[in-house]
Amino acid sequence: MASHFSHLLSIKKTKRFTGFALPLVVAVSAVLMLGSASIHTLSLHARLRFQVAFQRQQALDQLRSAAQAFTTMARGAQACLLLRPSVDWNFHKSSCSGANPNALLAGNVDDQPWRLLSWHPGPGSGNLQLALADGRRGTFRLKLAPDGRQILGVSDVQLQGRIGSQALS
Amino acid sequence: MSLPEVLISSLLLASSSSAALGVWSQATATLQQSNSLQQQGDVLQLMQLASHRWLIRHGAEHDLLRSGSAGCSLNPEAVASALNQFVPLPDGVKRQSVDDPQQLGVWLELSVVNVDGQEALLRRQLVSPVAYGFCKS
Repeated sequence: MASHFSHLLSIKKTKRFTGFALPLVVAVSAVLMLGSASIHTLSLHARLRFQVAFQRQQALDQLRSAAQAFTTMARGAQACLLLRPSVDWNFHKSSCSGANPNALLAGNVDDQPWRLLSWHPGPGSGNLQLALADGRRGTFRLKLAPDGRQILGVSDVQLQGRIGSQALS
Repeated sequence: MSLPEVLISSLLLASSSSAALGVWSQATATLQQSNSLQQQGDVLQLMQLASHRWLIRHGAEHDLLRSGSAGCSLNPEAVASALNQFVPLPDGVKRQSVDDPQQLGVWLELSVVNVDGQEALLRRQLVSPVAYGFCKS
């Protein structure tokens, strides 16, 4: 009687543990796969973040290069234009004989077109605003000689976001 | 636990563990590569800033202009030589100074070179002598 009872008990225990391993393994596998997928996503995000930051730095380089090109162009006959805001350049052509405002209104650096948005001279310095073809805008402060016709220095760029690229065309 | 259940569970656990391990190692490699690129990018940024600060503060004290040029233009060899002397680069970073085809200035290029000799990152910027006050008349 006792041996029959213990036999029944062992069958019951075996039945209780039957089918326990597979759900456990499935759950562990799911945790492993989800965890590794999350880590993989994080690593891809880190890479993407770096790429975006580096492309932004390269865009700033392009804006700085455009400002440097502007300073080269604003010499000689064009230097006279630095005395007036860019909106007045076409109305005061007679006061700057030989100057060509178009030379300062747009250009190319490294096959990248840029456009002058505004030039505002002030005592000792002026504000230069440029835009790239992709719409990125940047502002620079240009140090001027006392006569206002000579550039002595260029500040670092202040990025001002984008404007519609159609505005440049 | 039956034998088939044990076999299926073991197989499932082995395959999921090995797949997860593969993804983990790939993710770790990607993270390390991103960190390395980030550090190299920071070095390039630092070197570019240092080069421009040197040009602003000390550029006028050196003869960086082309001799006899009426148009006031930078001599790329003189610029590269002065920068290499006064703003030395860390290992793995290369500097180049190239004339602009439109004569707008000189392109200062800083790049990180891989162990294979390939350029991993490149920063380049136009430098005009006018912007540093080298062309005072």
